[in-house]
Amino acid sequence: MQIHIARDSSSLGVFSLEEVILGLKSGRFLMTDLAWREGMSRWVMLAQWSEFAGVISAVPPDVTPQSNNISITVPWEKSRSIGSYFETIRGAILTPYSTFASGVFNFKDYITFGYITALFLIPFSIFGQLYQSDVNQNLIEILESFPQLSLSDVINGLKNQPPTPGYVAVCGIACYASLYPFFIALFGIFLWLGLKLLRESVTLSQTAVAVLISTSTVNLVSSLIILTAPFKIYSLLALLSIIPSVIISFRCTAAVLKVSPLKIFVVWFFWGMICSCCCCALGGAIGALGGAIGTLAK
Amino acid sequence: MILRFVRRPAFPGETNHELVWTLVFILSCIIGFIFFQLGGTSPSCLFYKLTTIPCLGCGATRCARELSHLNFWSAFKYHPSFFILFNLGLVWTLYSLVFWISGSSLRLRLVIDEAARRTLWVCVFIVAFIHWVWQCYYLR
Repeated sequence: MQIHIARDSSSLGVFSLEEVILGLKSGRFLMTDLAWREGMSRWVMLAQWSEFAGVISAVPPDVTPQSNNISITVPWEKSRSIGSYFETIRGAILTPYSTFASGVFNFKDYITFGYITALFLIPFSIFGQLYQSDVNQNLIEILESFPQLSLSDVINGLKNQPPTPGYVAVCGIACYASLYPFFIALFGIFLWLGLKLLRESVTLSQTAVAVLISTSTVNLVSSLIILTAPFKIYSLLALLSIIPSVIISFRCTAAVLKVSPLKIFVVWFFWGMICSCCCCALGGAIGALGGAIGTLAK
Repeated sequence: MILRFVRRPAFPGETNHELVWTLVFILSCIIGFIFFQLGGTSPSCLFYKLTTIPCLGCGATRCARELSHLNFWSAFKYHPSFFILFNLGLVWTLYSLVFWISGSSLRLRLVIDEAARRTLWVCVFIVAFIHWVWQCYYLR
């Protein structure tokens, strides 16, 4: 009989009945671990298995303090209101490590958080559209500012396209706002994958929340800069805002995930390389593979 | 050595692979399609420029571009590994769609022990080497 065992959202593997009995006796497995075998409709704690009743009674009770009384520090998780939303954003900018010291970070709870951000961003996006009517032209200008990238074909493709009608821009804003939390969560998947390669035990939901909070914060801060769009200082401010945005984003993501900001930088650098240069990505991929194999060999 | 597929319910907190990878595959296809329809391309390979030997990634962009134009045989020749990866993604997406439509609670999972995992890594390296030999033959 093969028994599948899981603990804290991750699988521990497949074991025989004897291995599980030995594991329970040695402390490798806990009574609270979830287990499943073929034929069962759901996962059940080992403590509830009749096969291990005799073993479990011989094992001393788990004296590890339970984490039921952990006090939540994230304002949004304490009470979901506009006030707590801004308190969370403020905490993400000024004191990320104390603000996100303890929380559940379930993505479902943060969908509303994402939509509040999207609602605040809509007026700024419309304002931006009024001063930047042709989206393609703006994109061309941005791409042309990176001469080192081989984007001439993309730029020519954009130049040959007719100007974007106003209703398309409005539809674009509406689509972006309606999908905002999920669109941001997609980037969370890439971060989660990279952190998994670096052998970090973070959950997908937690990573999606980390990216959602940090992106919301950065978007809100940088959206204020759009107000200077009619003035010449706009480009300079937009460029300068990149530095604080990156700092805020990395600090906030690292605080939520309890991971070094350096590792988060490595992951985004890795993905950036994959998207821009296959050679550098190759080096990164080999390094990651080597790390994974090294861990397996231990 | 254990290496087999099982169908089992998800445990609490388990990553929803049927949702995550399907979304990643579909969104990547949409973004890739738009990128190549706009005539997008990636920078030329620095490793190839320096050594005139293709790296493991060489041809992947061309493979993706050929896939976006539905030229499958040509795509395979440019980058066999990327082509295989694309097809694995496609198979997983089709399985996931069947899973969601049927409303089943049993999910397909690979059961693998440490010995099988090591063997699998060796196989990955062998495939990567064969792939690279092909790259050296076809892309030079």
